[in-house]
Formats: sequence, structure tokens, C-alpha cells
Amino acid sequence: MQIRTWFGVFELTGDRIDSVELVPKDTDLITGLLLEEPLLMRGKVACTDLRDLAVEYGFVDSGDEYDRLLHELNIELVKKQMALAVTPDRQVIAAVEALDDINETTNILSERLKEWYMLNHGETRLRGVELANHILNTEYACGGQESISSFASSLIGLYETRSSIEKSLKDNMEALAPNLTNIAGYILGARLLSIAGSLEKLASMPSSTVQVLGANNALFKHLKGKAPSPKHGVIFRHPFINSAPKKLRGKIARAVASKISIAVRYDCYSGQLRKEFEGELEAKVTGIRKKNFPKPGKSRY
Amino acid sequence: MNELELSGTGLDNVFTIELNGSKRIITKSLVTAASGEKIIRSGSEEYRIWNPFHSKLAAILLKNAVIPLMKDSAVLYLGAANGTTVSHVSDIVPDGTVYGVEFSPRAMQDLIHVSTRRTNLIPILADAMQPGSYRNIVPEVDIIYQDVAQREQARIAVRNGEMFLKKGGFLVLIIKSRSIDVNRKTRDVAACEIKLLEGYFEILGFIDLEPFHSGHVAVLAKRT
Repeated sequence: MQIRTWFGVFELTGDRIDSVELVPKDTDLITGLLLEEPLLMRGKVACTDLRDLAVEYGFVDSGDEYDRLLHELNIELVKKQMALAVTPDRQVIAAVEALDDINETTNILSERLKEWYMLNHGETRLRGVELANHILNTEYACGGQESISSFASSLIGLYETRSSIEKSLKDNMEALAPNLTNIAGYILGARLLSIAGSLEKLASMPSSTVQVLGANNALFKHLKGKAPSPKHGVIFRHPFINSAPKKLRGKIARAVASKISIAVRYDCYSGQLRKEFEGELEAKVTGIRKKNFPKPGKSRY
Repeated sequence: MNELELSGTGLDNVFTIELNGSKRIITKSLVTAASGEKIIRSGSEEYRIWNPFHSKLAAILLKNAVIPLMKDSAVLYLGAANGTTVSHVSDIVPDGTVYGVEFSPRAMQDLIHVSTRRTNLIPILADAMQPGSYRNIVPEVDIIYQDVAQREQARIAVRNGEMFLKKGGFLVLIIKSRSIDVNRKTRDVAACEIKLLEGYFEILGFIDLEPFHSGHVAVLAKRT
């Protein structure tokens, strides 16, 4: 019988050890082996604890060294497993979450900048990046006011960061999830991924869940029987839904969510772009609108 | 600093102390506390304050439950998360080993940080629902502590118990009822889960974790 352990392969007959083939004492090498097969790390071989065997067969000099090495090995193994778990969808999720934070921050900062500017210069219609540029172009020339100039240039820096993240997010989303991007747009698509946790998780969700992703509180209130069911979560940002008349939003949200579900499944399991989805969804939404609001003049009977 | 009045709790390395008029639970540090941790010094020893509102195990102990954690126990900890409670368990079993299973890579980052400094803490990146995936790493253990935010919590306990817990070994199962059903009452959810344990475990008792953790019940059981 053969027992494969983390520091060597034991050949046994019954409970007798015939031979041992030790592996080199190299953490990197051993963690590599462990990723491929579950080598025994703790327990007994031929009624003897692995720790004692490792000392007996000269893999380590002492039990203490064995414990230290094994501990280090377990940590290195987990680090490697985590590095393998960094998939493109997690990059996209990190990017869209950063984008949301930057948006929030730039809004606060640009409000503050405007307040500060108005203190010295009175009312202005300039906002955000325009105001920041204006300040940089004029204040520097006037001299003084270094604090407000530096504030303005930081804000401009944030706006630049935002557009560069947005651009890379768009490229990454088109590569990772072409169908989702096509149906929902890259920002909404990435947000859905962020809430679901991964491309695979989003793909395995029923479309009724996709429809209410991001409406947690409303959903739980509903499940407790205290509120009507939420009609849409973050997919509300889809132009088909937020431009629809209030009465139709639920119906349209359902159609959009179901198309998103199918799109994500294609992205996850085939990766092929199905351009016709966009047209299909549009036709469906137009259908819903027509059916519920017949054009005047048409017979209603 | 002055010698402080420490009271024993029946567990090695765990004490309670009167601090500004309130009773706090502390563990004797196995390694020097990381920055940001709340500590108390008494003589040459350092103790870390254990927050029962963050850690369910601390809450259980404050509710006077008896858990046979010895200084050389082998503990399988399912749902190790960021390693807060795990670090205290590691304090309690300086000569034993804690196997911390966690599935979330983000939480694992923190757990790695904690375990690097603690040689009796082994991090394992795996799904507690699939105990076969860490069968090569974890030996037979004395205690299983489980606090996972998944459905089928009793089934996870049964699967792991069958594979790793020695006969007569102890199970501490934290039932998080919100992960199972958001609508049903915590007690009802817990009763259902406890039923599923029967046949595998002898149920010793259960503790409602109010007011420290709402919606949580701790079940203490013994492997038959």
C-alpha cells in the first residue's frame, strides 16, 4: 500500500513501512504539490504520528522544526489558493466599488470647493471640474490662495482617476461579460456583479433575484409581510426602467432582469456575444408599453 | 502597573475582571497583542479584552456555559472569519492546535495575518459544507466550534462531526437563524436545526445569545 504525505511517499506492507521517498524540503515545491493533490498533512502512518516519522526518517531534525515548517506550509498554501482565486470578475468588482466611492467623494469635495470659492468671489455658476480648472487658471496668476488651488488640483486629479477607471472598467467588462455589458451597460453590469459576488454567482441566480438585487431592505420588509414586493433593485438604473411610466416599471424590470440573466449565463458558460439579445429586449419592452397604453385612435374593443 | 483582581472562569487562560464597574472577560495573550487591541497588564502578563458583542464564544462564556477547552485541545473552528474569536481560542489552547476554516478570501486575508504570529493556528481556505476537501489537513479533534453564515448549519455540523470529532467530543454550534430563514422566529429555526443533530449528537443544552447577539442560539452537544 502507498500513503502519500506532504514530506514523502510511504510504501507499506500491512503496518510495516518498507520504504520512504522523501520530498525536498522546499516550501514552494511542496505547496505546489498540495495544490494538485491532498497529500496527508496530519495523522498516522503505520500507527505512528507523521511528526515522529518525519524526525525518524530525517526529514526534519526535531519535532519543533516539524511544527514550524508545517505551520508555514499551511499559510503558504492558503496564500497560493487565494492568488488563484483572483479572477477577472473580482478586478471588475474592485473597480466599480472604487468608482462608487470616488463619485461620492468628488461630489462632497466639489460642493466644498464651491462654498470656499463663493466666500471670496460671490455666486458662481461653475461646478465641479469646471470650477476647479477656473480656479487653477486664475488663482495661481493672482498669487496667494495656495490652499484653494491645491484643493482644486486634487479634485481634478480625482476626476482624472475616475475617467481612467471608467475606461478600464469598460474594456474589462466587454472582455469579461460582453452580453451583460451589451444589455445592462458596463457600470450597471459591474454593480450587479459586485452585489452577487462573482460572475458565476450572478449566472446561477434566478432572474427574479436579479430583478431585486440591491433592494435588500425592501425585500425583507416584503417577506415579513409589511410591504408590497420591490419591483426593482439596482437595475432601476437601466434606461428602459427609469424612463418608463411608474405603472409599467415592474413589468419592464421583469423583462430586463430575465434578459440580463440569460446574458450573464452566456458570458459565464460560453463567452460568445449574442448581439440579437439587445433587439429582443427592446421589442419586448416596446410590446409591454404598447399593450398597456394603446395608442389613441386605435379601437379598444 | 498594579496587580489586578482576576477571577478564574473554570477555563485555563480565561479570566473575568471588574473594570469601571462592569464585568469583562479576558484571555491571557499567547503572543504580544497587535496594535489596536485592547489589553490589560497585570504584573508581567498581558491580557486581551474579549468583546462579547463581537464574539459569540465570549457571550456564551459570560452566560456561564461550561465548554471543555483545555490548554492542549485540538479545535476545529468552522467560520473563522477575520480571526477575532479564533485568536482568543488560540490563547486558550497554547499547547493545542486550532484549525480555522474560512471560505471568504477577503476574511482569509485577515486570518492569515493572525495565524502568521500564532503557531498553534492553522488557516484553511475551504467550504465547511465540503469537509472532505480538508480531510488531509485536519486530524481527529476534541472540539468543533461552528459559526457559519450558511444555510443547512446542522448538516454542516453533522458532516464535520462525523469526519473529525472524536467519540465524546464536544460541539459548540452557533445557529444564525437569519441565514436559514429571515421570517421564522429564532427559537423555531433553532428547534428544527437541533432536531437534525439528534442521532449524531447528545444535546446538552442551548443558550439564547440575547442581548449580545440577536437572532443567534448556541447549541452545546456531545458526539455519541
